[in-house]
Amino acid sequence: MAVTDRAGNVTQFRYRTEAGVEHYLERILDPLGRPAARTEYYPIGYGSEMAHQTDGPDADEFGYGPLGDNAMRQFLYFGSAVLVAVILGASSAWWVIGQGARTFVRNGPWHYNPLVGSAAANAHVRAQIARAGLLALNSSEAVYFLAHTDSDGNPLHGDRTYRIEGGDLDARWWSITAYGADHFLMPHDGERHSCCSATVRRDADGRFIVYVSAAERPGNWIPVCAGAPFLLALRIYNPGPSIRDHLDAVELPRIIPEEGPHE
Amino acid sequence: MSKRCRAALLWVVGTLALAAAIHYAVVVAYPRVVMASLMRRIEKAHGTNTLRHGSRPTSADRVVVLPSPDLVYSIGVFDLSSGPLRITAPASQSYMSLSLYAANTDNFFVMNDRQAEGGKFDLILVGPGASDPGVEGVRLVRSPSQTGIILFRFFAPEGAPLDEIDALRRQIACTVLQ
Repeated sequence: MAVTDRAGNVTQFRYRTEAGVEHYLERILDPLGRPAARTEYYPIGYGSEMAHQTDGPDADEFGYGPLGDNAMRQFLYFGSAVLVAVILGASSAWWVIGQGARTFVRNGPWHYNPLVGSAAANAHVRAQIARAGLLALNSSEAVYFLAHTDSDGNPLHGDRTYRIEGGDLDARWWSITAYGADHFLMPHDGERHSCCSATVRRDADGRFIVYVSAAERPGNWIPVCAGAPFLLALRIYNPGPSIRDHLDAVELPRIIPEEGPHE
Repeated sequence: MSKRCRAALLWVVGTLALAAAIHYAVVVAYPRVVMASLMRRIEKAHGTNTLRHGSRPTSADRVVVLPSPDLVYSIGVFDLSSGPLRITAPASQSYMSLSLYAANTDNFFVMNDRQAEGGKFDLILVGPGASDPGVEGVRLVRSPSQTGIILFRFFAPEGAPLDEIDALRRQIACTVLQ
């Protein structure tokens, strides 16, 4: 359609003509034929934005409706924002939840996360506890050290033999347990997975040596599966202040790889 | 600022704001989801306000990671919506502890046999905002959530018989006070 003013100047209003978009105003042309404005529609066809044009070619870029160019552009615009936000938000959350590791106290090959069992201070700490030590106890009741390596820093593996040497710990009771890489007790002949303060055999000085190997050893022995990595957990229940206050310095058992051919 | 720049800026700001909201929602939801899943599993098998007395963990147990073969556990879900819960148990001669966990994983209470007065565990657990039932001489413990987990641990060195512990566990009572 067109509107003619008193001086005879004609301003044109152009609409899309295809089915379903009959009332979509495409552009307004001034009396000299220049696009004076354009209209953009959102995917579901509501709303519009007037944009003054200074030159002509842009006037041909208009698109309408769910199947038009604008619809695709809008879909990509919002869709990509949501997709990127979900990936960014979820992955950063998962990364932060796993950052309990940054709070580890290290003592030789052993490490302990004091967050485990502690009263949560905020949402992030609580999430870290849920991942690192669900249903664990706080450090006044129990301390849980884990070791993935021997005292030389090499990964623990069932093809080797290790000697755990140490003395009694200032605690009500303690235990050393072997787990598979999946953090479950390892399936092997017989359900024997640990040595604890109540059962370990000590020498005259009160010190002990516990062997960890796939092949049976006399005395204190914790079997593991050959051909597979494993980890050790040192549980210390009702630790005394010499442990609680010196987690990184107290003498903990050493994990010594045996020399000679691997078993 | 051109229209394209404005749209790009809006995209970046909007995406970051949405990502921050999603990040926080995941962090807040994670412990509750983990705990709800565990509670649902226990509740489905054993109901609420009752304990499941587990046997010694073995290599066949593959639900909770890092189980100790030197401990046996009794676990249950508490639900305080019907009223306060009184938990009583005799203290054992060796290590034994009672710990309580809120629905968001917080370990809000722990007591071991040496801390149990008179050689027994006896406490009343009430929900958030619930009134004190006024039972004299019994410790009141307020849970931050209506539901949560009760967990007893008993020290039982690998290979030792569980007869005494089993006899003791049969005396544990969880009673809803009306």
